[in-house]
Amino acid sequence: MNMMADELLTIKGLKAYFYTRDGVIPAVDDVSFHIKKGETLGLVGESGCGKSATSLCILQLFPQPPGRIESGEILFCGEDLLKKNKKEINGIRGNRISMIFQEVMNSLNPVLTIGRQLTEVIEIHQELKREQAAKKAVEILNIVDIPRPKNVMTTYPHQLSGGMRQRVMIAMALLCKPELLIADEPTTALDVTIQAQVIELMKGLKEMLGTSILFISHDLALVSEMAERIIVMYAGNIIEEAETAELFSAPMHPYTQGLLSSIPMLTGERGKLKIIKGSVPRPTDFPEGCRFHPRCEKQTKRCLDNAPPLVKIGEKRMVRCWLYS
Amino acid sequence: MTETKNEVILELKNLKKHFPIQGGIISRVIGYLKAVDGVNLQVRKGEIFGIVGESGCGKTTLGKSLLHLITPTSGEVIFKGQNISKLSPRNFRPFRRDLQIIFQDPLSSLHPRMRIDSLISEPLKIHGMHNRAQIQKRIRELIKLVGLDQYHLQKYPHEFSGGQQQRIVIARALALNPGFIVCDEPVSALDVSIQSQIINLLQELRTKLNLTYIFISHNLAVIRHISDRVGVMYLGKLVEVAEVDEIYKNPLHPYTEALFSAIPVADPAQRKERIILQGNVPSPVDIPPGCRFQGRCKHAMDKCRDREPDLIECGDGHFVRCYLH
Repeated sequence: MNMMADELLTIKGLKAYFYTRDGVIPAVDDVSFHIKKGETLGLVGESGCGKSATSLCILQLFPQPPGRIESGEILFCGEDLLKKNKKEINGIRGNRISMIFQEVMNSLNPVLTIGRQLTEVIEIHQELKREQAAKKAVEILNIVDIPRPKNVMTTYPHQLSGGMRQRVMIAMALLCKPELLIADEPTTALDVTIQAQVIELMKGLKEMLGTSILFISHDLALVSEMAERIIVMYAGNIIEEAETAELFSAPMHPYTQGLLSSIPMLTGERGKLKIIKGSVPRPTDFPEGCRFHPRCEKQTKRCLDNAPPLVKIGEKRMVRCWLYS
Repeated sequence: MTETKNEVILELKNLKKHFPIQGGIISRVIGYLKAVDGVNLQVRKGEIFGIVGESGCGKTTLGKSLLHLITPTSGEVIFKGQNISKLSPRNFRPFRRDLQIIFQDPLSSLHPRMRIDSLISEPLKIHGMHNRAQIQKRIRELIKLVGLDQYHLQKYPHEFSGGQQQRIVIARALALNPGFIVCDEPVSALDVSIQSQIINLLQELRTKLNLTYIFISHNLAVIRHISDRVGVMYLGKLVEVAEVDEIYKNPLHPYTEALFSAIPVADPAQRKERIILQGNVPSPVDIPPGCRFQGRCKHAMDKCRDREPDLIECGDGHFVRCYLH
């Protein structure tokens, strides 16, 4: 009954715009969603749809300027993260909420050893002595299945393979047992067999630690393996939200439908692929009305003039399309 | 009908490309990176031969060395009955018309300061077509063939979306009426909703123009969708070759099996037990003795460590390099 109690993170009406010479880019445009305790929420969309920008807003990492958070609330355990000052947000970053990025090489400091980078996090957030911190770091490396963790502590990032580096990143993100982990395309730079290793690892860790995960990717299949619930974004908007199984068995928004039927599958027929015509609109000039209408097969006159609202369908589904409202 | 289908257009005989590694004060050669290490392959006229493998397995080097873009270290490339691997650049030029390549990143394949019409007409001029009216006619044919409009010809590459840029690259590759095209990850840099458009286009062109492709990709679903036969590469060698339906239904090599099982599957009902490979791909500088895969293989036996197995046929065009079969 008490819905609010098990919501760990709630985003309400978030708007974050970039102000560039070419015009205003509504990167995140009225986005609202929540993540429950222990839940994995998937955020899917193509490049430029605003999925990463949304995640950056959560930890005040959205680049301001050129960007500006226009309005909205990001409630974490009931407190608005957007209202926190620098010191307060530093106490949350890497401690209660941590993040993993796609480009691991850019996230690790190339001139510090892995050990130093791991112990730094512990020293800052938990005020432990260096020796204790080192012990803890070895423990966490063990948990993420890194062979010979004591040796790895003394190596530098470039000495490790891509998969190993991503494991180190995950280890670093989990050091303080965060309540929320934001994973932004964590396996996109990895090969499939290594991706499979990392995904299995993340699944296992989630069960062990009970961390909530916001899992961001352009790969629908990958997200469906991790997430219980999925949000689909297009051109800065949320266009559909559903539980994973339902999204795949009965997609509602024409964009989701198109996306699912245009991806080559590993089983079934190999005929001609269905396509979504046109291309993703440039963010400086999103179309009037529904932002998907120029590419939509089911567009009507209404779609040209008015942007559809995100409406609730049944208990757990949301869709932004005039076909359903 | 069946005879033309089985006509071999391209054959590789023990093709090798070793890159020297230099080191020390006087830059002596201290080792070799064995990117392609003995590939034997027959491509039939009119087929799409898919090559899959993880990053660093040598698939791109294979594509480049068979087109003479880099000179192979040893081995033969036989195209339409003639060995082209040892030809001088001048003698190779007539074959350039017939052998084309499409790369992953369209924008870096297109000169940023040339308009589309001059980009597409360049190969025509180089290969001796000078009549302006003829060139214009041919350009218009080509741009229509790839689904763009005439007014696009006056624009510059950056004015197009990724999918359109790839169409322009395809138009230019087709300018000289080639019979054989190497497609090196042609859709990997594109958005998900655009990939299917390009895949469909490549398939249509194959039928319309009677083309033969070698289609290189790390994306197993795309390879399954487009290919007639598939070769799996691991550390510079083909470990398995078979008809597409056969190899996806009945993968024989332990690496192929693990590779296929590592792909995320969108539909929860289709998921199978996953085989997680231990460790990383060994470095191509330091290839393990015996079978290249033995260090990560759960079936590894003593003889796998002593001698590398040959690529042998086990039933109806299904070749595998493993002692289990």
